[in-house]
Amino acid sequence: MIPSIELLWALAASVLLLVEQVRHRRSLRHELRSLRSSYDAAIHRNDELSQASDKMGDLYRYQLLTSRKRAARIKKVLEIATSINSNLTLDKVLHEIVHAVSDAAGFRIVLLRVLNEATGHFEARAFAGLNRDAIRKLELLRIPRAEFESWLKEEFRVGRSFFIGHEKKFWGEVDDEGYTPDLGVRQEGEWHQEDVLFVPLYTKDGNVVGYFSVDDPVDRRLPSRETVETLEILATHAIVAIQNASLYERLNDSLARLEEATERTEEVADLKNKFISTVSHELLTPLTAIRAYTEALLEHIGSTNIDMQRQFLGVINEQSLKLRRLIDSILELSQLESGRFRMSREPFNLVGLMDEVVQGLREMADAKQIQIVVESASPEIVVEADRGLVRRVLNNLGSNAIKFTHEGGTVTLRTLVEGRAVRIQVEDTGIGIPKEGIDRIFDKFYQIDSSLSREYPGVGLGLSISKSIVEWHGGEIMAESESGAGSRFTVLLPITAGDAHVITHATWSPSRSVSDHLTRLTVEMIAEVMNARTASLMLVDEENSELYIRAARGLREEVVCGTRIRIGDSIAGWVAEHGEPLLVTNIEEDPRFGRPNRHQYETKSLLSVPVKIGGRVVGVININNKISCTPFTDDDRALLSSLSDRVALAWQRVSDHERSSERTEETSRTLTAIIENARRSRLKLNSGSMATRAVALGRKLGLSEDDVEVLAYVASVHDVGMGQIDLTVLQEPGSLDDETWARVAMHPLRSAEIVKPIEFQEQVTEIIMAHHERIDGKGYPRGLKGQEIPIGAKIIGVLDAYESMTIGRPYRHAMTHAEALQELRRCAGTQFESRVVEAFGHLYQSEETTKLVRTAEAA
Amino acid sequence: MSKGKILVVDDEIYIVHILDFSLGMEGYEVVTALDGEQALEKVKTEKPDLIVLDIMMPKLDGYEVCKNIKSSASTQHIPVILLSAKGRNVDQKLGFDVGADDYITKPFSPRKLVERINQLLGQTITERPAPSA
Repeated sequence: MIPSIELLWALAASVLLLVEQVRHRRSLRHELRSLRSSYDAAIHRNDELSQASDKMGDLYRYQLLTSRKRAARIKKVLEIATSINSNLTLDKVLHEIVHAVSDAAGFRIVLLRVLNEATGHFEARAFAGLNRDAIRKLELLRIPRAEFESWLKEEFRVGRSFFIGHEKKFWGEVDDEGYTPDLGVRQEGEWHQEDVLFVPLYTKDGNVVGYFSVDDPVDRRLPSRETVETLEILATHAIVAIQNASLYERLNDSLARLEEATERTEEVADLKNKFISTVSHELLTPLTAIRAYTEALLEHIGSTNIDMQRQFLGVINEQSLKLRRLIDSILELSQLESGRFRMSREPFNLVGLMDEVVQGLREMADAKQIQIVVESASPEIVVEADRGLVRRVLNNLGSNAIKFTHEGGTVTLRTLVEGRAVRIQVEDTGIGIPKEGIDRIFDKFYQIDSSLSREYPGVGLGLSISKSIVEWHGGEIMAESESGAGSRFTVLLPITAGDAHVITHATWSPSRSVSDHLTRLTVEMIAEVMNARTASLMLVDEENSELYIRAARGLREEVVCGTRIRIGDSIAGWVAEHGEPLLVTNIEEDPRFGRPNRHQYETKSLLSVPVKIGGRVVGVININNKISCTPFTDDDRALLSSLSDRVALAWQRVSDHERSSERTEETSRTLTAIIENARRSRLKLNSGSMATRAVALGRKLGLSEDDVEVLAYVASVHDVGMGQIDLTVLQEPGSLDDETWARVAMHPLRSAEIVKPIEFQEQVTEIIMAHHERIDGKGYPRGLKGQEIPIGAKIIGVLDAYESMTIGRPYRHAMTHAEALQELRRCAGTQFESRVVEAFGHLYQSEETTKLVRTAEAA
Repeated sequence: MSKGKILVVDDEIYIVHILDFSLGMEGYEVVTALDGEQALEKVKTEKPDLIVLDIMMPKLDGYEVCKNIKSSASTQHIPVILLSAKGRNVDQKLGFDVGADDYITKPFSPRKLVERINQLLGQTITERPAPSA
């Protein structure tokens, strides 16, 4: 059977329909599925959106709440801030601060640590929310500076604060049991008990003074930006409070020192009164005898025999002599003390003098069967001193020793040479000096025991006179004794006048003896002479073995007040420890430069030298920021070392409180003159290089390093006397009138006179006085010739002439360097020493070369 | 014949000598002491009629000695003349406070001292001895 076509078509059509239907349903299902999914997505988004909208509401409400809270907190902070500033006991202030932090920033636990500059440790000083045990543990735990610094990683930084999350595992195994609170289980985003948030307390110049750390937030949340900001506002106030308090403490310290000084002044006044009454008593005693014997003799002249009359007259004579001696001693002492005394130093054999003195004492010693022993390392020790005065000292110490020694005892006189000084000892086996009297035995206003002085007659002025004499020679006198076992007096005498600075007072303390005015002038002088914008003068605080700034120029007040450096630490500490100058050309490369206040340094070069008295470092001078913005060089080092020696001498001289005010005034005048001179010469073109040229020229001519240092100094001060001369005279062409000429001709002498109060090296004044001399003898002021002129003066002469030729005068054009050199060469052999001019020529050549090289490099 | 016994106390031997001489010439018997402790002993042993006492002395000063004498029933009747280079009022007052009967400042006139002693002992001024003993 054959199916009909229609059927076939119908079949095909239904198959096709079927296929189409299937296809359609498929796509329909697909569409439906996608619709559902987008519906689901829409629903989901809707959920999300409504959730988000809920969240937004929360956030808004939260923000509203926090800003209200924040306003309240800030108000609180301000209240606290005012109370902090009016309150000056540090511990009380710190206590308020931690509680303010706790309240305002919402942390139950707050700990504040303050850096102890002396030990370099952060010590726990104030606490909030901690029990006694925890506080004790925290107090025992000191954080070394280095450890603290290791926490300051960039990855932890939040604003000016640091947050170290527990997940960083930064702390490792730390035994913090007892002061870390147990916060229980915390969820994601909440504060964890091992989280740490701390705020370092920096001063304006970047010195860290402490930090506070917080724990256990009230809101259980990780710190928000607002929280950190609140903490930081409080930190600022904490810093101010800490600085205020330390200033206040310092103020109290200086007040105490002032009180002490006042007490001392009163004591001195009291002693002065006692002294006057003692002196008048001592004067009246012989006078009483004289009057009584005279009157008795007059009254009974008829009833006494000639022997008795002779006896009476003998007493009168003896007592008059005693009176005379007494008056002499008092006058001598007052003269020594007033400083009007003229000493005549000349070389003599000290051992010979000692023998003479012993001969004179022999009779007195024999009367008490006392043996005198003389010990000397060599038969001849030549010292340069006033023989008569030294004799008085030896005689006084010798006769004292005999006077206070029992019959049959021994008195020993000994001389030893020690470096540039001679040590003289006078030892006895006598009654000794009680402990409480030993420190004041040289005090003329002091008597150990009035009854003792009656038993052992004498005015009690001998030792005071001896002390004055020894000090006049730049020496030192000391006493040691054991009550009942004898005494030993030691005199240290410089061998020559120039050695005076090698001897120091054992108890010398610059903080006490040098006035503020003088230290300020010293710093000013150094800054001006060295052409430095910043200079500071640090003193050694021996008790704490620290350095502190006594005076400074170009440093902020907080730095001056707040800086304390341990001996051995950083640059100044290194200098104090080693007693050697240190020239740092790049502070960033020097490992000793550990302080964070680098922005104080405009230039990277720093120069630091010790101030030494008798080999002991008493201070440090630092300079940096050279006005020319160039680094310091070894020439600067030579000059600053030289200045430091003069500073030491000046301090030493004024520290003798007996003549302190007079010498302070004199020293001030010298420093002021040097400052003015430095300012004057800075106005000139080449002056900055005068010291440098002098150093270079000195070295080229083979001078010793010591002489080079002297030269650097002289180059800076040789014209200090010019300040006294009206400068307009130098601006007038033509010849000067006689009077003006005389004044100009005197200026080298005047300069020498000005620097003298801070001078210990004779060659300095010699060079200054001779720098206008000519080798043909036609110079001024003394007309010295050839070898009579010291080499230093010849060097300074050449440099001075070169300088004045190249800067010109109103009536004369400045010469070029080459012209000036030619002129120097022309005058070589008559005005100038040829080899100095020649060396200068070489120097000039190399300077030019350097300049060319620099120019080439720059190009 | 002695007009009375006087104890002279001074640590300055010349002063003791001249007082010994002047008072001896006046007819007094003189005993001496060179310090405060010695003085107190001599007061007990010698029972003087009057004491001339220096103030500035070692061991025990004149004030102490005077106070001691004036506080003891057996010696308080003895007149004491203080002798001192301290002429200030405050020192004198201190002297009278410790019970001294008179106060003479150094340098003193021996004649004046004798007059005071005579007064205190109720003696009239004696005629000067005739020249050439």
